[in-house]
Amino acid sequence: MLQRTLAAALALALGLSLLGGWVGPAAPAQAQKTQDTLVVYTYSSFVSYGAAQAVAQAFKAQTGAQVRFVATGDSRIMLAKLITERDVTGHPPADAFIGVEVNDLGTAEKHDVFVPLSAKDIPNLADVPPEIQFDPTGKLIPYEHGFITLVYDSRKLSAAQVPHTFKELLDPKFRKQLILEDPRTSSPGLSFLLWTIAQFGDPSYLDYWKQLMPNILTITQSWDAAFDLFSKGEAPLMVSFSTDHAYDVIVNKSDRIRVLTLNGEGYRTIFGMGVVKGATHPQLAKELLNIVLSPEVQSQLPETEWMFPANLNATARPIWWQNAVVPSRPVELPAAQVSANLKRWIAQWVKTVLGS
Amino acid sequence: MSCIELQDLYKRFGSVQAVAGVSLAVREGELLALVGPSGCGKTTLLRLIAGFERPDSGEILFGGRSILGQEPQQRRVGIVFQDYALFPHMSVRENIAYGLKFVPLTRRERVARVAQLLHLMGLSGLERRAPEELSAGQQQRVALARALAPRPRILLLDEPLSALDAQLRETLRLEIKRLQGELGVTTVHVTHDQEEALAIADRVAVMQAGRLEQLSSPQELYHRPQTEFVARFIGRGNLLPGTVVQSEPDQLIVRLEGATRTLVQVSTGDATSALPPVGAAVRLLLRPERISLGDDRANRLECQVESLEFLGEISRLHLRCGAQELIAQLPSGATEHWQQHIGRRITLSFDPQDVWPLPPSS
Amino acid sequence: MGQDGSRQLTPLLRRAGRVTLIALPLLFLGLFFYYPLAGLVQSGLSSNTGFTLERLTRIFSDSYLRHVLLFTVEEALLSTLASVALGLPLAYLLTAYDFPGKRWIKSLTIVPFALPAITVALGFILVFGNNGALNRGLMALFHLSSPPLAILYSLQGIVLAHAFYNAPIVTRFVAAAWERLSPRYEESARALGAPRWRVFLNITLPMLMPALASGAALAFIYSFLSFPIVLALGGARFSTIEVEIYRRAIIQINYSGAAALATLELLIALLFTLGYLRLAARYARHLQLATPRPTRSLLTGPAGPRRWLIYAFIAASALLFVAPIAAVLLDSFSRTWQDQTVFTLDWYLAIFRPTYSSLIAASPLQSIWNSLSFAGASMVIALTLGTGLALNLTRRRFVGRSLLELLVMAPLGISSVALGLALLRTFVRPPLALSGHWIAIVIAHSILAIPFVIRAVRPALERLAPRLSEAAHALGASPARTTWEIVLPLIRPGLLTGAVFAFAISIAEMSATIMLTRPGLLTMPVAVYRFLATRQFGAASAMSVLLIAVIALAFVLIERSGERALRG
Repeated sequence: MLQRTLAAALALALGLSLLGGWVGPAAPAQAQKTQDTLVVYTYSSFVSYGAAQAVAQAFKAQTGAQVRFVATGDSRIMLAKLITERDVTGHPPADAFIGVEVNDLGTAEKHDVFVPLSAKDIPNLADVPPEIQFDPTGKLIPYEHGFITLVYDSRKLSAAQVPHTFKELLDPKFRKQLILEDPRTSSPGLSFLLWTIAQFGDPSYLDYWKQLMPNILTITQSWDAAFDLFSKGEAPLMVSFSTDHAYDVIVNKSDRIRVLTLNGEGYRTIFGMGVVKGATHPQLAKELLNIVLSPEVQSQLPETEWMFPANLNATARPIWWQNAVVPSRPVELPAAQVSANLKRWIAQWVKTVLGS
Repeated sequence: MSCIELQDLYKRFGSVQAVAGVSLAVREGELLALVGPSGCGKTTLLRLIAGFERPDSGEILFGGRSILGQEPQQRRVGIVFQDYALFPHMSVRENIAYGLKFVPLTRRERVARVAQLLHLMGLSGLERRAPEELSAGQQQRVALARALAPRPRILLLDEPLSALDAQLRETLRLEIKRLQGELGVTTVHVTHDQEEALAIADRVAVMQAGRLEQLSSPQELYHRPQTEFVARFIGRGNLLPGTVVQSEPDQLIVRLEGATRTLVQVSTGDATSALPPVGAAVRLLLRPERISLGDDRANRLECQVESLEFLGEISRLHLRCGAQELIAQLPSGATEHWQQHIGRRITLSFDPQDVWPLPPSS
Repeated sequence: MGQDGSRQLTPLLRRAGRVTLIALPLLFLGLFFYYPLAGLVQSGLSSNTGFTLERLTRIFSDSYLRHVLLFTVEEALLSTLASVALGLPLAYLLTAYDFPGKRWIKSLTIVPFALPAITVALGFILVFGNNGALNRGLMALFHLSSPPLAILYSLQGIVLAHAFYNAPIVTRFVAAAWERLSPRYEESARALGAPRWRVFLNITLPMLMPALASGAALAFIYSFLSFPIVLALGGARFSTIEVEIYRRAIIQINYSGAAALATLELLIALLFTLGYLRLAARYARHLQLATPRPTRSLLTGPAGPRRWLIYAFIAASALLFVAPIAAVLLDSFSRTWQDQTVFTLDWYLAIFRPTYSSLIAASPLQSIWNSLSFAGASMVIALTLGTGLALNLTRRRFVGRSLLELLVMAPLGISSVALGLALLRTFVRPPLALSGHWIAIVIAHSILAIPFVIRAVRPALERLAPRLSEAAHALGASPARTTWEIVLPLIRPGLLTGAVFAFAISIAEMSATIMLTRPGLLTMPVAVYRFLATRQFGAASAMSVLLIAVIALAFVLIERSGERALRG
């Protein structure tokens, strides 16, 4: 009896799974691909803070079409997901992508993800300053930018104690006081690595890292993990964004997180977006990108994305401008140099810092 | 001299009073059987001796010294459980040798002792076997050998025969008796089987409801039980209620109850206990095998033959004297003769020394 | 005629039942494990020119990957040791002592195992971090200016967290065996003069060995395949193979490189599985069972220094197991406001707001429902298939049995990242186009849980004296009835353990789920992850607390109803 009961249960389970296989997935998958729904891959925080909602509303009003955001990870994971799914199925799962960091330009280029765009396609691009238009091929359009700096916990370190230069950061009194992100997986982490290369030159940056190692508490996978540790008081120093102080003041009504511009510098980070090659709705995708660059949407970015808007006509509240730090000397390595050397730099960094 | 003495032991588990004031002494070299129905406290008593349980009150002496402060491993007891609990991950040899690790012996002495026990138990040639590859009888012998190996001061057997079939049980109980006799190890044998207890024990202690009912030799227990419980528990017996009409130093005259009101002569012989006075209510124990189916003995009774039971070696005759039912035993060769008497009235008789007066049940 | 017919039919049906019992699980594994796995291994072992071992050899020639490999083995061995050192005494306490609330505690021992790694990491940071409760307490107590205990962001932090996860497995497995071990063995040994520690070493331990080996092997494999814990508490300097696989597959778009690593990882894990199967077989014996084993009161039972040792151990265990969960609970009710930490219900209110629901692409209630139904379905499938396999593996001897055993245990050695990846690639194409369907998630969870069920059920089956079912056969019961009426009730603890673990694996699984999910199919751990990834730390804590509550409740219910169902 038991054997028959078990067998019946098994047959049921298997039958269900096969039935599911034939009937189930087709329904949602195809419903999503109806004529006028634009699919956009982006990172999860773009959806979470309302920027996506503003975009969707404006898009509906302007084109009458729907937009569906797919955001199941941070920007790099989403870009990888897009490429992987395209390679496996043979067609891209999205029409547009929002959130390619400047240093991932090489990856996008290598996998031939995006189509070139012209100023005619995106009229709002005219109001974006040329120094942040990072893609010489014109495929990726910048929509926001910011600066990677150190931030410190003013409850743990007084303003008099903090380091102001890369050299001071090596002081033994900061032993295990610094939280970093992994340059292989995190954009701010990579920016910090590139910043040290810009500062010390190609092979010498590794010497700096060797000296820095005792002062590193941990190297996290992502910025989120690092910020979580920092918020919980695990270490007083962290590599983060120059807008963190504004975030703390506005969201937490607090003055705990302060920004440190080493040598007065900050490493520039820029985020771009593009139309995916092979998109079902390329025209709608272009219209969407233009909407993201519109002053209305751009003005929402400071207090949702905690980044500086790309459009010069965007506005922000005074409290934002008073507390968001713009380093006096923005630093960035030429995109071509980064693309050419990135793989080697990371390999060397892994060997030096993570051990052999 | 007494080897082990239990003094006024009490042990309670939750709401169950498992042992309620037991005192007894086990003599050096004897085999004492602890017998009683299940739940009577006999196994608890054994576990108190071994040290697996602590008494709530009372005292346990080994050779005159209290051992209550000692852990089981310090008491030097050998124990054989009903399921033997042979260590399944050890061979026969390793099982037997296990207890020798904890006594100061040289390697050579250990090997010799194991060999000696293997030989004694007829286990030679099996030393490398795993316990699960042995027959039940062999397993029991290994368990005994293991318990005996460190030369315990006392051997405790916790129903080691009860899981076996009847024939094997009889063989093995004889073997236990032989072995115990040869080795002279003081042994307490717990069993619920009164026949087994009578067969192998030097003395038998009957327990009921946590109390000791009687402690005496098997013969004494059988023929001169002190309580009605013992009389009923040990062997088969006919209990005839009556009243003492005459009490003399070595004999009683008892008038049986019921229609017949027969007077019965009871010889009390060298009984040590106080004899019941005139007018006291007693029950007379009359064993079936002591009934003579004829009028050739001193005491006679008129009965009706109700039925006959053929049991192979013997047969049993079911009789009725008024309201009183009786069982008589006869050799099976006489079965056919008595078959014809069913329904008839007969006279049976018995000797005064074959009846024993029991005090009335309290 | 009817009589004759049924007489001929019954053995036929019986054989059909037996074949089904083994064929269906194998079909399931073949379709949803070996077929996707073949694709994965193929990617790892092929290049443009065909079959090659180059990707594997490249792993060994890369000094960094060699370092990662060694670290993974080291970390897993230490974690296993720690899990056993912690789990064994806990099993002893649960077996030998009685205390108020023991049934609840027993049901809840498994809760740590079911917690998503990110929640555990959060709790560990809050308790054992540099700014954690333990360090702050010590600093306040001894007036120190800096945290005295550097526990996290190092090997010991990882090992401690793995012990948190895996000691409950060991406890669970060992306690299930210990409870049914006849005390006569230990008593015999003590009567023979063995001191307590010798009894434990010579008698108890060898008899617990099958269960202990099961628990330890699982602890090893889980620590070996561990990923989010290592990421969160170790950082980049303490990477395991699994972290490298994740990095390659999810971020670096290096599927074949990830596949090569996953293949290597699988090989190593299988090697350990094989070694452990050997070990378990060596110790498998038919033991006398006793139920229940006598227990003493924890409050009055132990005496002298023993008592204080036990109490100290309990306190340390409470710190390890309870404090992180309590810390997450507290965290979910507090927020920083104007530089002060204040009590708040904001996070709980927040996660039920529509904006937050869109954030995680599901409402919290929906994710609770999803988690529970996936876990329930996975539990039923894994328990049915796993028990069927275990019965066959234990009862019958046949050619290729050990090969079959290895085949069905193999999912144990697969990284869930690799499994998710392989399934994802299989499910986007016919013939198994299940992508985006809830069945896909349930299948992944079931596959991960099946070896666990087998592992939980087999020791119980093996310790079952064959004469018990022989006795039932002798009484005229058919094999099916014997199984149903004799075997299953007797292996109840094993079955319950299997059920609970299957449920736990499913409800905690994140690595594979996150790859197979789509909006609307969100589970609770994934929701926690989404909150964390969007800076919603408070909401993540609140969601974690919700998850812990759901898990705890589910376990208590499963155990209670399981006990009733199997007893009745």
